[in-house]
Amino acid sequence: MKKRYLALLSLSLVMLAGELGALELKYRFLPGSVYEYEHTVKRSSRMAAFKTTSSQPPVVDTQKFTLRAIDFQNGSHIIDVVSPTGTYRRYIKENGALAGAPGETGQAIPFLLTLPTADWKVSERHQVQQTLMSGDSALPATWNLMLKSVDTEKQMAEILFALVVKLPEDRIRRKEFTLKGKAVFNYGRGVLQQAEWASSYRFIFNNREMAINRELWLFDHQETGVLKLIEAGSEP
Amino acid sequence: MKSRQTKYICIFSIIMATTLLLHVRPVSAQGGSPFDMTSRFKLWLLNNEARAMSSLKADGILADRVNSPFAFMPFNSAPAAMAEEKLWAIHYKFYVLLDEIQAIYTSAKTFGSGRFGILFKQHRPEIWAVMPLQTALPGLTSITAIEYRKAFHAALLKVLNLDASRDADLSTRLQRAVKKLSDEEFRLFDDYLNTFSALYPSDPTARIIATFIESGSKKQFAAALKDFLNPVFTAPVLTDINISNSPLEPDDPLAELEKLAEGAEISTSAPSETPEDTGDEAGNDGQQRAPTTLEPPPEGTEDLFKIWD
Repeated sequence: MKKRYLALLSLSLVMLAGELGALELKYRFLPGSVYEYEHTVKRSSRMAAFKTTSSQPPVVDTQKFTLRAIDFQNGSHIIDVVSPTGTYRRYIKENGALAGAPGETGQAIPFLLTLPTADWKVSERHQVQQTLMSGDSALPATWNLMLKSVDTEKQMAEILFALVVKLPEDRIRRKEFTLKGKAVFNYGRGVLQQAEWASSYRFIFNNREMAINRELWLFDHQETGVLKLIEAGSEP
Repeated sequence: MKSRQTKYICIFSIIMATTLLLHVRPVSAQGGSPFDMTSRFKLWLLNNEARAMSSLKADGILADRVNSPFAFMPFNSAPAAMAEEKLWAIHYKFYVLLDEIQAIYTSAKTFGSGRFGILFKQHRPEIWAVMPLQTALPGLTSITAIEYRKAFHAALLKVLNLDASRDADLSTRLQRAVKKLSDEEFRLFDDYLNTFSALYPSDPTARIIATFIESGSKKQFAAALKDFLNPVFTAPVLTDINISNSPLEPDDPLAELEKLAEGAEISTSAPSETPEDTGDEAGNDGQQRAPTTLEPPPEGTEDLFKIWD
């Protein structure tokens, strides 16, 4: 009888420990607050055609943008993104999905990384699936996310993410596209603290006639992105 | 009444005949449209470029969409120059070269035989052109006759798309065109020609271009064109001019081009030639080969080097 109580107690403790290890990650922009980010993009490319090669050295572009948190309505944060190219109104859900972008009507919305609403556990994988359009082709694409570590003291969660998408290919085109990255989410404040990602695109163009196959060109594009929260505070 | 009607019919016939002649003469002067030796290769490269550009753009849009993964980021990133732009710039040079090769070939085929020049010297249209002025203002015309003839000749060259300084030596013009490519670019051009030939073995286009460049850059051809490019101010001596046999005579300037063409045709039709054979022939430019041993050009394609028929 005593053993049964001990077993039940142990079980409930284990369950409680699991609950304590779980983490909820969601955006919580504070209305009236301003968040300043720095976004750095580095692009490089190279090309090969037989023995002729050409490289475009890395081009770095850094720009700062500011988020003005206006309100929280119907489950969405109302945010103004103030960038050198203009100011854009966004309705952003707590999981990072876009509920609306009235200032960008008609524009293709990026394939956004959304946070699963379930509780996150370290080393547990999550998937977010969407359809991406490439020309006229609809491509199934998946974001794979995994909580790598949690810093309870700083209230930071480190998330690894990777994109899986198969670009359209045929007998003359072979392509590979990969994107991998890491994000540090401040779950205490409900904002993204930092993120880094790198994408690689490789396209081999060849000609095939009957049994003869000749590779003509290779295109290789690399891009890295770094996003950093520089400052967060109230509107002066 | 009847005689009046006959008169009208006569005038109408003359007008119609004149109109017809005006249309027919330039056609016979050109001798039909020359064989287009570059367009299939050019279209192949253009089509491949178009396919690659289309894929690069579609994939670039997709890459942009996933490279802005957070909803609070600005979605538009600044466009950056990509390495493939250098490739398109090199290809543009190839298109310019191909057009130049085609233009050189067209000039050689149309005027290189010297027939048109001889016809011109026989009939002296520049004299006929100033004849009405000669009647109206004999004194003035005799003073300005040379200038009239020069102007007529210059206008004629312009109409025929010829340039005295540029076309006097077509071999040099071809060399100049090829030298606009760097060694690396020319190697790439050659790789494309080889690839085209490997993919489409029955299509001689790329082999013809390669042979034309190789042979035409080494030896002068269509030398008869040089005479035609210079204006003539002396009276014609008709006994010295015989159009019927001049182009095919061995000492005719076009004989050089004929040799060149034969050499090109041999190398085109006999790709499995041993290096020793080629070395032996280097001294005599392949003249010893009998034309009857050559393979006929593939069906539906004009024989490139029969440019004086």
